[in-house]
Amino acid sequence: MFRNIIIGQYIPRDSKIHQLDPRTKLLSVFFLLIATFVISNPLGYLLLTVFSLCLVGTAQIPTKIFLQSLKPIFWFIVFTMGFHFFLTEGKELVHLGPLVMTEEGVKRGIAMGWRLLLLIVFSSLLTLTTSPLSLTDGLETLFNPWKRFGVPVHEMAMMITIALRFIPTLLEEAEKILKAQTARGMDFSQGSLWRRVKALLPLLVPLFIGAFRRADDLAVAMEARCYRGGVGRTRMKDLQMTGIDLWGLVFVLLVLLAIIEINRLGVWSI
Amino acid sequence: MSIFIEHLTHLYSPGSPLQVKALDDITLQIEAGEFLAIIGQSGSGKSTLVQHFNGLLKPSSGNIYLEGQNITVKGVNLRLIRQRVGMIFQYPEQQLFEETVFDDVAFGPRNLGITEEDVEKRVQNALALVGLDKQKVGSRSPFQLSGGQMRRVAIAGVLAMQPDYLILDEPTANLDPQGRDEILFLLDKLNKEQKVTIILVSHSMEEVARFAERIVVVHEGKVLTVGTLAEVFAEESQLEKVGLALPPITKLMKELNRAGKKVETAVFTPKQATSELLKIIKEKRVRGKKDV
Amino acid sequence: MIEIKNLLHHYYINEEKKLTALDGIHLSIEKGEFLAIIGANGSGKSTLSRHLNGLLLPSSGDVIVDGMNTKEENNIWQIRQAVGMVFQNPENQIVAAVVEEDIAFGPENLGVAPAEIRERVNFALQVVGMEKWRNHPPHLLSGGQKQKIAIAGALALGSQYLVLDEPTAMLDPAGRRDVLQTIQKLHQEKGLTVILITHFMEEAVEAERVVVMGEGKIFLEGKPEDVFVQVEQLKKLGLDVPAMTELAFLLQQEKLDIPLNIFKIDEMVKYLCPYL
Repeated sequence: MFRNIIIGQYIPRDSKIHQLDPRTKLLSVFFLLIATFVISNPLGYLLLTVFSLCLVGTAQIPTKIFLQSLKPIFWFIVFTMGFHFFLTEGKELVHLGPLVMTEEGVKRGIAMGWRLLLLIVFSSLLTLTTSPLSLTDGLETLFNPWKRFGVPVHEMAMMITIALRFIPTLLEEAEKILKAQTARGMDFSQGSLWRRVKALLPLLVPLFIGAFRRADDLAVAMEARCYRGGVGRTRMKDLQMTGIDLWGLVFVLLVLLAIIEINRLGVWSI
Repeated sequence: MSIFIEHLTHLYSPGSPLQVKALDDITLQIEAGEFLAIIGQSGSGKSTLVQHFNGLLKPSSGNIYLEGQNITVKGVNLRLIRQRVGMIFQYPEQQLFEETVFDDVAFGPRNLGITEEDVEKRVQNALALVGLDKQKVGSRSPFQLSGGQMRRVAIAGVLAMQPDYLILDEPTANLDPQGRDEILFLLDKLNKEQKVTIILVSHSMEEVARFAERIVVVHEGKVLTVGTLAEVFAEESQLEKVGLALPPITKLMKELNRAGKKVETAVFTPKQATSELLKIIKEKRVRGKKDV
Repeated sequence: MIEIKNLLHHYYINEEKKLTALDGIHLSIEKGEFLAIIGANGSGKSTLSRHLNGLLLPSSGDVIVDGMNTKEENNIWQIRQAVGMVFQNPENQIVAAVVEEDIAFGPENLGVAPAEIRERVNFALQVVGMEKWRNHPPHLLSGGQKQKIAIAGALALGSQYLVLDEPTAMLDPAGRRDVLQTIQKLHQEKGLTVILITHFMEEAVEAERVVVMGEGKIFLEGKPEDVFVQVEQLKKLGLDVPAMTELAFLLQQEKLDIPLNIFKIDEMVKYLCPYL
């Protein structure tokens, strides 16, 4: 049942975006996030929106899948917009019972909602086009300099990699334990909240104990395979920045600069 | 006629691009009190099949009748069904969770809502059945026991529910010969003395040959063949197609047959083979003496 | 060559209780041989295997791999590179989320250059016949396939000795056959020294030499045909014997003149026919 979950929603394709070094994508998302929060007039919004659509197109991700990844956040955006619509002081537009929608509220609500949408689009682009392993590699390499401050960068990256590797396995095991306990008459659906929480014990205790056993076995196996931490360790998939990475970063920085410039020109601040 | 499976089909992820037909129109009858084995390769669907017998899985189409009652319709008391049809999964020791052995074995019976007195009796009996002493292990943590003991505790936990039918998925997996024998003898005892219907899912032909009366061979979601040990083992080519092999002793008897010796081929263990061969040898000697 | 000299291994359950897992093991493993170590649960066979690559250190005695003593800290990483290990649980030895990344794990730890790691991984995948699966996540593989990945990992590490601790115990018959065929191939075609720890007699029969353990000691040692005829000893140690051997043993008890060192069906047929 759980075997076919696509972790982190990574969809393998052969697009230019997929081929980018994960560091490029991580840095780009960082800059684009800044841009998203800095925009303050419609021209800026337009520019970023067009840019994001171009990226989505280049990434070759089917629209259907993209919309699916936006689904979870949809209601959050609606709620945020409503919040701004009705709770901002200003020129009254519409009355909905005790609630008053204002012009300022509408402007702000739309702006906020749009920003959230852009945020989600850029982040999704990252996770849809980059495998979890690449992401971890990219993060590890980017944060490498922090090692001299005592931050265990390699260890954290290794933890994330192993955790990702075992998620499907643990899900399968959880399913099996759930079935076994159900076969012994366990019932989640009845009783008080406390009773239902207690009912989680027959599921969680074996899972945790199983996970610790796995960790033990895995540690021994890693040692047997000469693992001794990050010192002196190489990577088969060595990250290399190429031409498209540099161009990509330049492009993103240009977009950011354009946004800042447009802000300065001060058309229609919101 | 006690568990009747009628045109059972089961689809995983129906309607999605990942849809898989795990079971394809299976019709099967399981008699009360029998010792049935279900064999097949990994992925053949045998585990999916047995999880329908106690309502853990619902059919995509088809019906399951437990003693005449259709258990796939709405409003069925699944708890009751799961008491009557007990299930022991592969590596059952992975489901232990309580602080003491006693409490873990008592988990099942306590879910039945019986008196604590009854629970205690059942736990005692169940532990005795699997060869564990309640005085010695009852108050210990199940996680302090050896692997073999943990497995027995897990099995006791299901036996304490006193099921009429017992489904076991590879109960002897990863046990040494002694541990394996103990479990198989226990199953035989439950079947013969307490009339528990045993449904044993296994890969091992030797194991199956020791106590099973009937065998169901599952392949790619369908029932390839059903019959007595002798009937199923006669179809050597079918078994090989399914990735299973006859026990070596049975193969030997067949080879002897092919060499012109009239020996019974429905023989599966060295002990059985010895009896059969001695019988034939005696007959030959008697014939020899008569001719002289 | 791996030399094990007077190896003793104790461990403590609590303050007072001392258990002896290995009680004076003396064994030499020649380069290029196929050795099987059999024994019931608790015989010490798994404990012994962990000494071969220094995962465990002797309480007393020595384990020397290609002239390097496991007790010396400086040797440890070289020893672990030379002696690759495959464990019983196929799931809990796979580190990475993609097959080829996991095979690369070993050489990455050694600091091998990326291009060479790539070559080693390709080679290992080819030897175990898993090239088609190189980009797959491990949880989609069967048990037998996972074990083949573990074996490939040891190959990529450059191990000359391959220790397998009950590698097929958790597999179905098809998986078992698959793994055994791979092991045979590695031994015959690539000249690897194979040390197979198992409780399946059909597997031990395939080895060149068999060591039988019980209670932390070695009870029997020799070629399969010499070891498996000791039916009563083996049973006392809690072990099975191959089916044909068991049959021959029972028939011998009924005064039939059948030798005990028969493992193949056609041989048994030859011996039985005159009687029938």
